[in-house]
Amino acid sequence: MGDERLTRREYLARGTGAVVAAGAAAVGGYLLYDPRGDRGLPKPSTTPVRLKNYFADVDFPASNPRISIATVSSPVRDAAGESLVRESPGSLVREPLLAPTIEKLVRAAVDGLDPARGMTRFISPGDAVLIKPNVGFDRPPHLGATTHPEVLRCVIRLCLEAGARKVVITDNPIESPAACFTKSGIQKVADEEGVQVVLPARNRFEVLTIRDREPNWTDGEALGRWPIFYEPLAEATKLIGVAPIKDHNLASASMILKNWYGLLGGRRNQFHQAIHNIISDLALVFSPTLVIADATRVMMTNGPTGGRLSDVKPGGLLGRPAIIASVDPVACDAWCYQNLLGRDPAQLPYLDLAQKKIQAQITAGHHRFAERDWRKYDHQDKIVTTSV
Amino acid sequence: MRTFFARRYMRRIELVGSTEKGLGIFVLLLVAAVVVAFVLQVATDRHYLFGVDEQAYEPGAPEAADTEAETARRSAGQEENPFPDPGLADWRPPSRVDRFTADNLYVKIDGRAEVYLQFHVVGLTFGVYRHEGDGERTVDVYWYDMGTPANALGMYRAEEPPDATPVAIGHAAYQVGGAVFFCKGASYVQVFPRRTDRADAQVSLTIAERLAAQIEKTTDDP
Amino acid sequence: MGPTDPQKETVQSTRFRDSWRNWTRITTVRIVVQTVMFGLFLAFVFLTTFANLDRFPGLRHWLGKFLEIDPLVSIATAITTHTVYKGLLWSLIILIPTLFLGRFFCNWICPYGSLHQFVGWLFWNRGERETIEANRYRRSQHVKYYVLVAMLVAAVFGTLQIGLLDPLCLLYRSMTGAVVPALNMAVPDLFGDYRFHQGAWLIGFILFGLVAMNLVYPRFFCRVLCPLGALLGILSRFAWWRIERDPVKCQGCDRCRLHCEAACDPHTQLRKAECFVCFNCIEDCPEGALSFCLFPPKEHEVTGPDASRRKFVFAGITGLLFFPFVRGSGRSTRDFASSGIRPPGAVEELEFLKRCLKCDQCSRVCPTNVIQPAWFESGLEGLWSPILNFRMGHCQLHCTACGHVCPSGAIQRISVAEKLGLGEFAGAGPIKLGTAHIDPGRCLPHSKNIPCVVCEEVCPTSPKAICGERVVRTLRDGRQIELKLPRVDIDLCIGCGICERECPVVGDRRAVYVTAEGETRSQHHPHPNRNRSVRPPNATSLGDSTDGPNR
Repeated sequence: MGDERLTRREYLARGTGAVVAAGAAAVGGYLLYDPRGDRGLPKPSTTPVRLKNYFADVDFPASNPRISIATVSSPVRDAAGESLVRESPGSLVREPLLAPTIEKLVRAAVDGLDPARGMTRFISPGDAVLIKPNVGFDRPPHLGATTHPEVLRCVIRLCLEAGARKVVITDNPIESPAACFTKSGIQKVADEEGVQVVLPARNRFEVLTIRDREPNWTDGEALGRWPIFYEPLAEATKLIGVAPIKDHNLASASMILKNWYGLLGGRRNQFHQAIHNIISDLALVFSPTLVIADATRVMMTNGPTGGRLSDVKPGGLLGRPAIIASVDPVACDAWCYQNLLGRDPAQLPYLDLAQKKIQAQITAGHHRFAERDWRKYDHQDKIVTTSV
Repeated sequence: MRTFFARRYMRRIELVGSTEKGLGIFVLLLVAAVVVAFVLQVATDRHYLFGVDEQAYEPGAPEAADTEAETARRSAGQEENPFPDPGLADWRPPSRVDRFTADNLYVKIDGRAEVYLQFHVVGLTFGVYRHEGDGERTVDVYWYDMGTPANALGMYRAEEPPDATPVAIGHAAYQVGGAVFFCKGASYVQVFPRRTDRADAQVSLTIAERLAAQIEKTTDDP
Repeated sequence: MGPTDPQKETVQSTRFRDSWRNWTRITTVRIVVQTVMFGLFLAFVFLTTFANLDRFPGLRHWLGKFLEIDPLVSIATAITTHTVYKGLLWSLIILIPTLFLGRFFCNWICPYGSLHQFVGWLFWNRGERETIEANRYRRSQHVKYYVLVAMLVAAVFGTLQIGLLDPLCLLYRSMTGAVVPALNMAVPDLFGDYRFHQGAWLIGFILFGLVAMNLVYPRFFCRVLCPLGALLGILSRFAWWRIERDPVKCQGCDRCRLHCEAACDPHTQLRKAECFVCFNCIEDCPEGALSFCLFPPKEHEVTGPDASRRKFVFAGITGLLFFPFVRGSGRSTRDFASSGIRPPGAVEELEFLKRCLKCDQCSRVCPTNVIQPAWFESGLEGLWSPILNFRMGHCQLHCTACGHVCPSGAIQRISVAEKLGLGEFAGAGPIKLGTAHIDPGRCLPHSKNIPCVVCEEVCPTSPKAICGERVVRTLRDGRQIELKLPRVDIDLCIGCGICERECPVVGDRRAVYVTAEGETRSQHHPHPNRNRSVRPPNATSLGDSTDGPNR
């Protein structure tokens, strides 16, 4: 020990380091203290996030038709009598004759729902529209596994004409998204029409609350809280589904309602264990502004992936390319199942389940018109057909 | 292993100052205290870790096996059964009533007992209302005796969420997700329906109202 | 230079006369404290059995006490989880005095330090000159600071690796994996049944190797490798007291280094970050020039670790790269091993890797020896973390001991009711560790026409998760035999593994085996890479009530 004695000031200066550090340790320990052991674990957020109803703002008269079908009046043939509906295999370039036909079909179908106002009944100026096509597979469009790019093009144009400020295309396929969007021709159409394609990314999903409790499987329920591809849905004010009509090896058919499956996140492959539970729940989760069934070529067998030209038929059993527009997705599915695939809707379990679930919503006042049962529609006023 | 005992102590013993001795004794006492604390805690802590009470094994459906004994028990213990009849078709009051004191409260509600103990809980009476037809539809009732109305109100407020819908039962009540919580007199009651649909939420309300009326009969309100 | 003969005489003559006063020397007190602490540690290790925890529940607060007071454990888990889990708050008892007194933990409390000191004292037989040289500060003593920095930087990213080299974790793990099983083999009556631990050879040889280093480098682990020592050394910079050398009295004999435990250079400027506060130098100085002084002059000390700043940065970069290199192997997420089954009450995998100290307390207390230290089932990060090997044992139904002894909450403290989904947990259902699968090619009834169904018999769930399907088969000689073919109902199976344990087709591929898919700890996780469920949540077997029509 040296002869120097420290002054009180020097004592303080030397001593404060330890005192401050000790204080910081004690305060830090107190603030971070986790007595029950669950504070540090990630917890689901308590405020439920629910998907909005994209039909709520549409002033759709109850007297208007619910399903509008547009078909070509006669098969489109060339001089030699060959049907021109078939594109050349492997071709990604639109057929000069086919594209205008498709455009006429789409416009006619939408106008059939409201002859006076057409698409403007659904889309208002300033709307942000999300269009959900089926881009689930990297197949060329003529194989019928995905939405036909020309159908999508026309829908985009209709939205833009109606004054939408933004149109976004999205899907979340199992296969590589980049490959699917390119091979199916959707990416090209989006680029040409100048609209954005939103691809899935990890932070674009959000856990939504469909039910406040665990689902009851024996009652046909599948979803409680589940991650959904939420980012494009959150900023959209209108939602349009554009789905091809396909055979499906498990669900029997993949149509409008099955199209929403693409927006599910998480371990969605588990829902195949009760496929009708999940499809009917999709009808509950998604309330779109408008749905369009793409029946330009219908996959009659080997669905949902297909792979051969012989699997598809233009317009299915109708024999001619068709487009169906509807404000009632369940009804649209039932109509397509019967008239395009030639099967009995009473034998498709998810239709009934979906109808029951929607009915509960209607009773709760979530839908604009009360009468929304596809079994009660008759051809006179609720289902109209137009020829082009 | 070189010189063991003689290798140390180059420092002369006289240089060991009293501070050092005192400090040494203090440290030895500290260490002894740690050992004593260890032995004491091991000897006295009797909170059994691996138990689960038999009631937990009870399935949801009413016991079909021992109906005779059950009827006898029900008719005999009618005066003792504190749970009132809900007055609803197909709903039976609890046939079996479990009572817990502050000491064994944890057996029923595990770690949550600590909060109740802070509010000086006296006891818990627990029963399950059952729907006769559907065994899955039950309503659990936790009836806490908090000793004083102040403690009951304190416990009620401690669990009340900020956005709860108030209901007119007892002194203060709210309903959230079908379950009803209310305090009345020295009692704090929780009514939990197993199903959270509208029908069972209504049943819970009815049960809660009846129970609140019952409390008025037996205790004095402040 | 050395002590004069008369002085030696004085020492010897006073030694026996005033022997009782020797007990109040601070070094003697220290030895007593070290012995008691080591004894407590051994007691805790030997008392860590399920039977003891069952009979004396109070033990759960003490068995892992040395881990709870370890400041590196609490600081590192605070970095990964942003909380201080339960008992880890006790580390303030070591942390705050260290800020005032220096690294006393290393030579007064740490059982691993005491072990090294004891082994060195037993086996170091070199002369005085060599010993004094060996206790000089060496540059290799920097390495522990780099190790600490690398581990803490890795912790920032959410991978806890301190358990690899933390002295308490290492010692607990070595006792569990190697030492106690060795004692079991030697004296089974005293120490219980045989217990096996995967990779015991590596754990044992690492312990042996590190302790054996004391024969050539005194206190090698404590001086060169120990990250806890490095942390305490860094915290010592504020200490109010330290060993101070009076330059006037000092004759430069260097005898103070003869028994210096820390190689902190008491003969010159004391290295504050190294000193273990063992007080041996005070005892050895013939001039009485050393003392434990309050606020001694700063010129006489080297305050900080005195390691190269650039090498610190390099160590930090190593820790930083560890995370993407190891996590990028995918073994803890998408490419998870089916054998990576965690104990009941474990949190989801990536959260688990933030908390697991690799102390293997869970493995020690497990009554059936089913919990094993992992190799690389969960990637490099998961080395020595607990996984269940159902050939060794099964998960005892009414046991939750592993969660009660886990100091960091990697395995949560659950009640038996929560584990089995009883009472208030009936809605949530039981905790599933995984799912059992029948391998029909190896199963006796399925492919060998031999009746068995032991798996159904031992299945503990009610109703049983393994049921038998009755079939009648014709044997080679024409006789008919009725067999029960076992089938697993995966909605009921909790993955306890008793079926695999009891299956008579022994071998490393049993006829029924449990895999990690279907575990409940990750079933609600929204991200597909981290969700190991097979069935959607709340699924129940539906039969064919909602199947579509056949085409």
